[in-house]
Amino acid sequence: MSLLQFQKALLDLYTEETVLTEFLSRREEALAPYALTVRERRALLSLPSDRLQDFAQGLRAKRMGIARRIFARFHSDKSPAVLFHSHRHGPTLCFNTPSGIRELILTQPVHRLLSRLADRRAGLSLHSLLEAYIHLPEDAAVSPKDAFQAARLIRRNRLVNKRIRPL
Amino acid sequence: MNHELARIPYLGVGIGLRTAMAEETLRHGNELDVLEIVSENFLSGAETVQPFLERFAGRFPIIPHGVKLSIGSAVPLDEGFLKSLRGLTEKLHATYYSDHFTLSHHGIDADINHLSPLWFTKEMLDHLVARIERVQQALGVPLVLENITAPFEIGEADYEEPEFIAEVCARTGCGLLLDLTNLNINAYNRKEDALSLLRRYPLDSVVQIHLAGGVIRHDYFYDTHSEPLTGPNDLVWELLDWAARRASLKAVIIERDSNFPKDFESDLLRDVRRARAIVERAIPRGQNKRGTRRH
Repeated sequence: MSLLQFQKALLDLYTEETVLTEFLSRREEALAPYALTVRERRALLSLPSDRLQDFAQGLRAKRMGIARRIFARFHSDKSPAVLFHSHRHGPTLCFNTPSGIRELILTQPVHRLLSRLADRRAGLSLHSLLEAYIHLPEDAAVSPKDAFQAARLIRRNRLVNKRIRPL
Repeated sequence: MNHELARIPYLGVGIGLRTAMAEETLRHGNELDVLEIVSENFLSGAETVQPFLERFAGRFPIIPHGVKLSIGSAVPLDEGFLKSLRGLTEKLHATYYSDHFTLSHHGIDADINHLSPLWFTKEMLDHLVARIERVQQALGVPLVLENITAPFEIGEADYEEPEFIAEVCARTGCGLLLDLTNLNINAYNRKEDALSLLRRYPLDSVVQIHLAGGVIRHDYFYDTHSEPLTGPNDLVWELLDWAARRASLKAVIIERDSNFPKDFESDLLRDVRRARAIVERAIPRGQNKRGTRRH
């Protein structure tokens, strides 16, 4: 359905820095991956650069503002991790550390797994990841390999038992 | 105004309920007719959420106002989400549910946590009509949708916003939450006349009005919901007066999401009083002003 592709392109322009950067310098090429009608393409090509950049920047600032307010309520050891469905380069896990806020870019399958875990209000652990994995719908396109990738990410970044707050 | 919207009782003038202003809201409750909540903050079964809501629901009529419906999305409606909205609406005995004319997500993997303008095409019109009909059926109350601040207009459209909204309201019977601040901001940024723009909206579908204070930076008006209704926001009073004389308003809500006033009375309450004075001047003499109980 074309409207889906149009909206995907529009939201990618808002949230994916690489897509927006390419769009600002090479508009036609940036829209090439999307299955758009001629009219849809013309509509997106007509978007004003300055306002689009301003909007995208505003969205990033808003997300980070929300995350900082969440982190400010807790000591860094106790604060939840914040899961952005989309951030500068795709889904991102953002968390506070003694040396500052860190952002981890996630694959879509790992993002889906962590979203499921967040819905279940479970802390991050191998057990909760596997629980979330086995309760995913069959069409979720998440493999056991993705679950272990998520586990590695949790361990490497010392996120065990952290709760996730989705945004 | 259609029959379903006409049945909505007059609720009065109030504010958006925010945690940071909770105690002041209760302290000055005798000057507030109605409160509005952000629905998604109260769908959780978390222990602290429902008792907080109940402190207010027992004392004020509460309007549920959502930000995640994303009525313009191409992805299917989330029936589980609609069920939870219905639960909240029923719990509050709300006579309508509101959200925005917007696209805010594209399924679970793409939520921008903000409101994108819609592309006002005939295809989008048909798409919205079908979705609004489904939502109204699911919720059991009229849906009332708000005009948003648009950072840009998407070209190659078949309509401009006022005419698009008029068509949607005519075809679905849904109501319009006319945000006069958003209208004022869009007019300023596009260098249009705000009152001329206001005249084009379907006033017979207006159920509620929003007012909020924004800021101008580098000659661009931002919808920050952070200021009192003075200075660059002052024009909304003239717009409210004009609209109140022509629409069958059910509620006026003043929104403040940050920069909360140190002096609630001289800041937010002052604006509430002014809004009430304007609306009550506009209501024809003899008409019953409030159809719901007051605390």
